[in-house]
Amino acid sequence: MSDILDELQPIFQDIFEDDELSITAESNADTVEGWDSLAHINLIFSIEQEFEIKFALGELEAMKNVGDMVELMQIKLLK
Amino acid sequence: MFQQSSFNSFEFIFLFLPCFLIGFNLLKKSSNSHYSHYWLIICSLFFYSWGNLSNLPILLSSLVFNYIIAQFMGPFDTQSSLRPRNLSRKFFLILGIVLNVLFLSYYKYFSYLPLGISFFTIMQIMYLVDCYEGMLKPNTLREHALVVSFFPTVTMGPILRVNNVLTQFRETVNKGISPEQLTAGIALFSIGLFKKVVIADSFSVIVDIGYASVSTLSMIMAWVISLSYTMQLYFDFSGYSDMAIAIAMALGIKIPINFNSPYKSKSLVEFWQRWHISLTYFITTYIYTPIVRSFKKITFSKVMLATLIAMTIMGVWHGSTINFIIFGFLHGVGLILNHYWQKKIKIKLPNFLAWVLTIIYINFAFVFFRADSFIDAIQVLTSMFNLNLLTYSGMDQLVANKLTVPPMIIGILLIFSKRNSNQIIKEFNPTLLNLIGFIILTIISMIYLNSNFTQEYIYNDF
Amino acid sequence: MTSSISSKKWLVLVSVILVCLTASMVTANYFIDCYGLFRDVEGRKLIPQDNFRLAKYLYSYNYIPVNYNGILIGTSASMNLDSSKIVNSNVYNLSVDGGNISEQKLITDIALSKGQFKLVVFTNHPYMIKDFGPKTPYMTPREYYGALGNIQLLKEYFHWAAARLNFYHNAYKVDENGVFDYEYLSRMSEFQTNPGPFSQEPPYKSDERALDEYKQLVHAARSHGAKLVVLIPPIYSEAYIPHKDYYDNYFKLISELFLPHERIINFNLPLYSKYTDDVSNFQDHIHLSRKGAEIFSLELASQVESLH
Repeated sequence: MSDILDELQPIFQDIFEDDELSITAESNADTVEGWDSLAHINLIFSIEQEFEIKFALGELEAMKNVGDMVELMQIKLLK
Repeated sequence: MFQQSSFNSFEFIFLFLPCFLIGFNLLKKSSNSHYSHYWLIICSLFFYSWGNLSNLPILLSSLVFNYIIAQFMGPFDTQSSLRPRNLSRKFFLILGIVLNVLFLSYYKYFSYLPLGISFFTIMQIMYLVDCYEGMLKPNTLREHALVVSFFPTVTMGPILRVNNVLTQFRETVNKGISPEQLTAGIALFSIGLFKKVVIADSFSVIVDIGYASVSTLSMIMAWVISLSYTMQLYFDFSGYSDMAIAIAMALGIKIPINFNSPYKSKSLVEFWQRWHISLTYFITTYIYTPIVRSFKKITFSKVMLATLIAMTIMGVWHGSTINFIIFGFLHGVGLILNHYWQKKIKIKLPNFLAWVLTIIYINFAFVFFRADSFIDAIQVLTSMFNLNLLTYSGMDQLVANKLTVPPMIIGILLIFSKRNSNQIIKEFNPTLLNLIGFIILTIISMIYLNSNFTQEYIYNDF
Repeated sequence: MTSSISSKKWLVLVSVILVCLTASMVTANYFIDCYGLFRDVEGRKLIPQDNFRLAKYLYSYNYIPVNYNGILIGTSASMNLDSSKIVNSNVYNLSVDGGNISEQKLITDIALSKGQFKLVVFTNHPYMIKDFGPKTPYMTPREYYGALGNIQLLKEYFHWAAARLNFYHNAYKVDENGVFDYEYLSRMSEFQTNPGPFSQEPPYKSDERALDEYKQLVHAARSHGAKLVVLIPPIYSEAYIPHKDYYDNYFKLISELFLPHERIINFNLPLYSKYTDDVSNFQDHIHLSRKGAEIFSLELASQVESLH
């Protein structure tokens, strides 16, 4: 879990243009400023490219919560 | 009169609902736990057909068609016995989506719109995509009929997510209706009913008067009627959504909320997170995201283009005339400007100013939603700025309909209230105090329901 | 009050209280019966307090069939004709302002089906068939149940109380015979000092479907067994003469729906010119002043009586 979280930090910092940004498993679209649909889509794409996985459309909403996001990624990375 | 399948009639509230609930609860305790589901399906189809039996075949054919497509598609990781080897799952997905869209378009552009068709078509398109991506297994016919025909949501949403709702139905199949859920449901239902038949219908009086005489609007009247429509639409639609959520709540099914105090939004982006949330989910996830994904490289302008296309489609979904295309397009443009401001200009506006700009923009776009024609819409919009305070102000219409004013004032105050209906119900706890409150709301709603609430006939010609 | 009670208790209390409150409201309204719908209405004198359009519609269910054996149908032009002056019949003035034939038919059909009428007076003016379809939503059977408790009913009570307690009066009211005795003084004096010009042709085109409805209504009244009378209301001469052909064509069109023995009372004939020339009889070119209404009501009464 923490590996994925560490790897996500630079992606988040890049998308949200904030080098100080530090996300945790509790971070979500309400707690991170500027996490709207635009940021969300950029996030998804960056993660898909970086980790070479693909998210289903129906999974995208769950990704608005970092904890759920990491869990989902873990499942996909295991396959 | 129970003329069209809707919640705001005496027959629905005091005959249909109690019969349904009693039957549903009794059947839960029977030997076959699915009897209650069959009862729900029968009642839903009955509700849907009431007032217009010819709508029923349309719902049924859409339902059966999508059920079959999903069966042919088969589950994600196994080969369906129905699907021929040379036809991929993707083939059935595309076929399903295309035919659903053609089906909806046919009725939209060449015929009348059967009740709820825009909603249940969208819901099933989402279902097919989710099936394809392996988010759920294809439904049995019983389950598919259950969720598609589900009477609280079949006519006007909220647009359900099939997997989520079916899971709840499965989990609660043996559970009877609990008194706690029933009280919360009744409480929310009475709020929704009040919003619709008292507040929304009061706003509609001045709106109908104004939009019937667009060429003679003064500046004040133009603002009054456009803002009144903005209010009417919210109370009408959110009231209806409240009632839908309430009925489902009484059954132990949680439906995602559709409105979250949208007129408190301080930006257009925020507005779409608070307005018709189930539709925004569909547009964002199933239209906007795939469009963006289709671009090789994501740039800001490409994403803005996707936004524009997605919002225009959203507009088209609402209606078949050019006004709706413009409505969608305006919101697309507004969102682009919003994102541009937030990402490139980055000046943070004071909250109050941001809120005012947002409301004004929303108000403009809704003129296209309500006006009977493009010309009418332009006339209303230009009247809003004609600065000619001397033309017929139309305020005598408000005076003649003074009974509508108190509910309108209540409506305006409610927009700014701390908690909206869903927030209230979340914390709901039965007490004597709120019992009295809900009885008052219900009595007033019933009086309004029994009234022909249209404008007082102002005798202009003789 | 703010402490929790059990959900079951809440549910039971809500149901019981709602049922009791509703039952008592409905029962009270049933007994008050301000539209004379539900109980014995013979001999009662009902006066609309607020919405007389709705009132006249509801009166046609019971009040009018029981207490009257004649009706006068028309627009605002005939609203202030005193039908009670007709002595050998009890005639209710069912004229409705702005009422076209569609609305008149809705009301009259009900009255005819519920009572025995020996006289039906049809006013004849282009306004009645210039458009088709009800103009207001009040004339539906649903309003019958509305009289057990709705906003219109509450308004009716409110206006009744306000008049009784003397803090608000409607300037003019319809009386128990449906006669609306009104006079809008400022409009009237403006008209009387400066009556013209009447050069513009009246903008009334007849709607085919409305004409059809008129035919159906005439036929219905005739088969009901009532004596039919056509009333052509007086138009101020200066407004009538420039467009005489237009009006006369219209009156002829409608008169053709009636049989030769059915009397046509045309108040625009030369024999009435001493009245129609006199501007003091009019509030505007078609609406009579109190003075004019008095004169023409008596004329109408004597014409109708001479039928026997």
